Order: sequence, then structure tokens, then C-alpha cells
Amino acid sequence: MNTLAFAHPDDGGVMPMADGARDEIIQRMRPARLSEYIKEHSMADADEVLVGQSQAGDPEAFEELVRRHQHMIHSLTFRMTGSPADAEDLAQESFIRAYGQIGSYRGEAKFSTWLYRITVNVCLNWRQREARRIRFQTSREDTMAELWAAAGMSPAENEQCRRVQEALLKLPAKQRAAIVLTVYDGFNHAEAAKVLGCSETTVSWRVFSARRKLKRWLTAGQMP
Amino acid sequence: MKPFDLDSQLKRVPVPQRPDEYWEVFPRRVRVRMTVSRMAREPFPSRRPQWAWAGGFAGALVLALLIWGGQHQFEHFFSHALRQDLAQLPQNLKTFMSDEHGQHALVSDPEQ
Repeated sequence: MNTLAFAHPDDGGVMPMADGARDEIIQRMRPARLSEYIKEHSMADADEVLVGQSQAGDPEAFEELVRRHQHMIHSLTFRMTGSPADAEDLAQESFIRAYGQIGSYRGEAKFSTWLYRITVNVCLNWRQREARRIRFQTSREDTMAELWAAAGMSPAENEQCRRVQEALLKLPAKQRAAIVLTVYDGFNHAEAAKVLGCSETTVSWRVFSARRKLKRWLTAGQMP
Repeated sequence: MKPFDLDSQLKRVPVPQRPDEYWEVFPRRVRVRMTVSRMAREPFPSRRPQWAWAGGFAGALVLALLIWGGQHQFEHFFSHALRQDLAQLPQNLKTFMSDEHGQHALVSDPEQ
């Protein structure tokens, strides 16, 4: 991420730039990155305001937070469960839990990171209910095949997606979470470690191990 | 398979699209659940301390009554048993002893 400030040469701090220099940097940045930067920062600032209002007991403010983060949380819960219905349940559960714990949010991390952490924990607990997972597996595969077909996928692509999805679901929950965060959501290992509440080395190991299994299963077609 | 290939294979699985109405309704559904869960939670914190204090006080009272009643009954039982035992002993009993030869009663001479 590019920033609109320079490190001060004397004390290593950050000082605002002169207008000319700022213009120069803005021109050098790709437009897409600049808009991403502005969007992300303004979103984070607005989040902080809404969080403050939610902490003061304003449910409308929290509803707005849900509106802003619902796509991100649905994607995460879908990747973790492989089922749209379960993804919806878990997204709701995550937001309810976040609302219950909003008083404990101190702003050390971004609100989205904090929300991610809660959601990953909700998903990991859900994954522990093994009986439920097995019971719904067949209906989930049917539903997904229908959804992918409706999205215009060919039978061959549909089959490929089914295999990848199946492989992901066979991963241990924590390895799956590490893959979802790093591959799908673009977190680096340090950020993923913050969300998962473990060390960076642990995340690296989980990603390495998960990748090795996925490669084996998807290339040779040998599912465990 | 290179890492990039694996990533592209993984990313090929799309997240199912949902209609716009879903995204409109979802935050409201969450809010309804938030309200319900808050209503379900709220009565307990306000009443729980009162019930806890009342329960604790009642428990302590019952315990005190049981201890007092038990002690009273215990004393009553033993004093009654003691009186019965004493009634069976001779009136002029001075001392009751026990040694290696058995138990002895030292009785005072009524004529003295």
C-alpha cells in the first residue's frame, strides 16, 4: 500500500508532503491503487465512527457496519463451509457475536480484521460439528452443482469446481482457514496470523501443508 | 503443478451470487436477531443479583436453623440419656472407677 507521507530523515517519523510532491506521487500511482487506497482508508475511518456509535448502543450504526462488511463475511463463511445456506447462518452468527462483543473492541486492529477473527472462530467451531457436516454433504454438493450450472458453467468446469471444493473441505479446518485467508482474501502471513490468533510460522506451516495436500489431491485425483 | 496453478484452480471456484434484495434484507435480519438476543439477555442481568442475594440469604437462614435445631436436639438427646443412666445407679454412689480389674463403684455408707 502506498502512503501519502514521507519518513522524516532525522527522527524516522512521518511528515506531510508539500503539495507539489504529493501531486507527483499521485501521478506515479496507478489510478486503481489510488482509488483503492482512498476507499480503504475512508472506509476504515467510517468504520471507527460507526463502531463508536454501536458501542454507545446505537443498533442502526451496527446495521450499517453489517451492510458494509456483509459481502466479505459471506465470502469467508462460504469458503469455510462450501454451502450457501451454512454461509448465511454463520455470517449471521458472526455479526451477532460481534455485536455482543463490540464493547471489547479497542481499535488495536482494523474493525474488519477484528470481525474476520470472530468469523473465523465461528467457522472453526462449526467445523467441529462433524456429524452435521457429514449429514449435509450430499445436499450441499447438489446445491453447488445447480448454482454453478446456473452461473453458466460447463459440465467440465462444474466438475472441476466440485473437485476443488471437495478438496478444500477435506482439509483440516485450521489449514483451510489459512488457505482461505491467504489465497482468496489476499492476506499475507503476518495478517493471517493476527486473524487466526497464532504465530506467523504456524500460518506458514499450515499454508505449506495445505498446499502440498491440495496439489496431491488435485493433480493425481487421489482424495483421502 | 506450480503454486500459481494451484492458486488459479482454487480461485476458479466462485462464491455464489445472491440477488440485491438479499443484501438489502440481510442487515435487517441481523438487527432483528440482535434485538431478540438483547431482549433475551437483558432481564437476567437486572434480576440476577437480586435473586442471588435473596437465594443466598434464604440458604444461610435455613443452614443456621438446621445447625441450631440439630445442636438443640443433640443436647436434648444426651441430657435425657444421661439422666436415665444416672437413675439406674445407686443413690449413694460417690465415684465410678475403671482399672485393670474392671469397673468399680465406690459407694458411701448411708449410716455414716
